[in-house]
Amino acid sequence: MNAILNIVNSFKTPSSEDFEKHGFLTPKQFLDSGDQLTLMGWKWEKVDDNKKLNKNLTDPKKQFLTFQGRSLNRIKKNVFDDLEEKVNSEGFVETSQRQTNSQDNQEQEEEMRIYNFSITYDTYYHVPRIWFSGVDENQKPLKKEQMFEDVMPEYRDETVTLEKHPHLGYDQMTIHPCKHSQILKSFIDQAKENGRVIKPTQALIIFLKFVGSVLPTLEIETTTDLEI
Amino acid sequence: MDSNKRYKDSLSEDQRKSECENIRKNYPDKIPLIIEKHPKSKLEQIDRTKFLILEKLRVYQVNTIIRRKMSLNKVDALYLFVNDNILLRGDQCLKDVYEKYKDSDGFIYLSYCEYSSFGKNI
Repeated sequence: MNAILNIVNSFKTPSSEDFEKHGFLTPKQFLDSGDQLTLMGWKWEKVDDNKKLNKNLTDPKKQFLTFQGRSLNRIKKNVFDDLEEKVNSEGFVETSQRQTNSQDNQEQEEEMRIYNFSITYDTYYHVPRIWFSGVDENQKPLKKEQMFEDVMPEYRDETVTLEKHPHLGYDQMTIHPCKHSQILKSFIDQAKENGRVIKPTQALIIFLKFVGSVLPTLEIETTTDLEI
Repeated sequence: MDSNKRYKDSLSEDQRKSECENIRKNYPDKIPLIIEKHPKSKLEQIDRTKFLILEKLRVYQVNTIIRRKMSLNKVDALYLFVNDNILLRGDQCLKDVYEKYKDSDGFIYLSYCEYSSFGKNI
């Protein structure tokens, strides 16, 4: 059912009210919301090659947004490789550090990675789409498997995949956007119940909250906690 | 006891305060959390609500700790809120979150909620 709905919706050009109703963004709303992100360190990029232009976005100088961030500590291992859990005498579930030998601790001194992120406008699903690729300390591009170390284990492979970037023309990691409008919609609905309004200009800020839940160790969110 | 009753409603402020003071005394390097289902969530309530978690852990690691206690659809994301309405950034450490958002009784109240948010590349 959802699949059919997706197809139907994809043929329609959203109107500005569709943000509140479906979590869709119009190209204009994407541009306005992107302008907000530029106040937080993101940058608009232009596209010169006519073939790589998203013609729905009227301004060739504002085609996609980029940001460079670090990876702080990787999710190399399952968190429970280092932790153990028990119910203590007071009835609390208590987590403790598992005793490890010193060699393991040394391995945790990790090199810093730099990631390049970009956000494009997906014309088919009417939503923003995130792309990323990283380099190690020696500027050497990271392999897919290495980048997966920065992705929450549950989402490796199925959710996060390597695909061709529409403007850059080469492969980058990306999160498939077919459910992005639903997530925006659920944030809008919840805020409404709490008597708040999420404006279309805030769409990309919300979107980055969602990206942060998939890539928690990457410095991508330049905003702070969000009250909805 | 009503299983849907939330911790805060089940005890008086004084009772909660003294429980928290007690636990802080015995475990100074751990944060006392109450973790419950968000009112909007359709997930099951996890079997424990009181947690003591190392203050250096980050929010996304706490997320993993909770996620492990339930069967969650792979395409669902699990979000953590403070006081049901503040969505937390994943890379913050628990100590900072606690300092910012702890309740007057000394606990910090987290709730978890699922959102179907992930696409699949088919």
